[in-house]
Amino acid sequence: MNRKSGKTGIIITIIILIIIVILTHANFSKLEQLVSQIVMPVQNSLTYVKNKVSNNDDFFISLEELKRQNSVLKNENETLKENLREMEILKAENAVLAQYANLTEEYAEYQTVPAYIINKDVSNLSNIIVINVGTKDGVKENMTVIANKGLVGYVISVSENTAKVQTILDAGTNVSSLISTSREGIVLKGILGSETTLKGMYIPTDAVLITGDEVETSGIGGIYPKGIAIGKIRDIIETKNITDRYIIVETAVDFTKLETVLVITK
Amino acid sequence: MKKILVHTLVIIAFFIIYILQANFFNWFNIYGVKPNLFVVLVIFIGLFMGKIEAAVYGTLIGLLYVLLIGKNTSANAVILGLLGYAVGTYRNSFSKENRLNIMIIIASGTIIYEISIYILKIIFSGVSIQILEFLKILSIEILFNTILTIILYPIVLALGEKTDKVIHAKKAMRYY
Repeated sequence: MNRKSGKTGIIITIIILIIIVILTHANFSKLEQLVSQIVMPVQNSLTYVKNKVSNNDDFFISLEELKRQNSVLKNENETLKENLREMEILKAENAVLAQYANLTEEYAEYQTVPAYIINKDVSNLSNIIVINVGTKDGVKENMTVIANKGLVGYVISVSENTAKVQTILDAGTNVSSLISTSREGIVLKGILGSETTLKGMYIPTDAVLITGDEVETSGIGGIYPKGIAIGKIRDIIETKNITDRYIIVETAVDFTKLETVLVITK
Repeated sequence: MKKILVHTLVIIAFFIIYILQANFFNWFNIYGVKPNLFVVLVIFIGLFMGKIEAAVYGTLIGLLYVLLIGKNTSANAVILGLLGYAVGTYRNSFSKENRLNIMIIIASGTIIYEISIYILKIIFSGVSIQILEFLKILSIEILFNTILTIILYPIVLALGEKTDKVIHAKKAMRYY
């Protein structure tokens, strides 16, 4: 009972304090307004009389002119703001189109179908995206999906108009890869909850690893074609047993901002 | 008629949750971890509608999830269905008016669901065992689900009690 009334007391105190602070502020501004309302007309009248007496009413004329100019400038400003908004929309559209064009140019050796990402996974334990192309666009299961900077994943199921893509970030994905400088083969796996990194395992014991080395697909496994960029080695984690050591690879593709992809159809 | 309205509300709730999970929680998350409002929905169905309804809705929600975004596996449907059935079975064993009870049930339901899904993923989808990462996701998800339950509780309780009356009206009459 005491604890309850104590809590109520604290809450009431906090509320009273907040009310006092608000009221104090409100009173000050109201008081200031009141004083200003009384004093300002008197001050204006006195100034007007003084200006009339000294034939110095240029100030009022220029004030009127300034008001007019201000109104014109405000209108102009609104128009410019609107134009800017339109420009921003066009810029965004242009960026998406440029991304499409770059993608197609970069992977000219493959026959590809461009696609938009229309849905992202709702679960924390998997990483699947849905794209807006399906069987009617020639997309089939197990086809590789890429973006402008590298590998995205592969198609796990297709409907007529959409396809589900399991990204390389999914903890159930294994990608057979090569370290581009040393040509050593490793396997990359998704890390639970990570949107930017992969775990590189089964590293040969004699492999020389250097941070910053690029990792690409090896072509082994039958899903991903050879030579598609995956990312760069960010960390090398040494363990007691050299066979257990692993690397953390930062993906080339920024999955948080991914909007457009290409499905390799041939 | 009232029953149809209740079932329509559940379906609407599913789609609202789906849209929130797929869009809103992609940026409104804690360290990249989203809540799992499907689990919360199935638990509330179990609490206020009963075991059969919760089992059916749990299974349907799991299947819809798989159709919309998930992989071709019925694990989600089975686990959500079982979870709903379990909650529905024990729905009269505790007070639904007690917020703490509901929070504990939501937290336990989240733990059971996520652990089951993860184990099945390890067995059937080749997901590697990453205990630390999984525990991080699980703890944040429990926290997120519980906080959202606290916020949603007054609305759900009001709606739930009405639903309870509509669904169990005939059964109550039979006892008299």
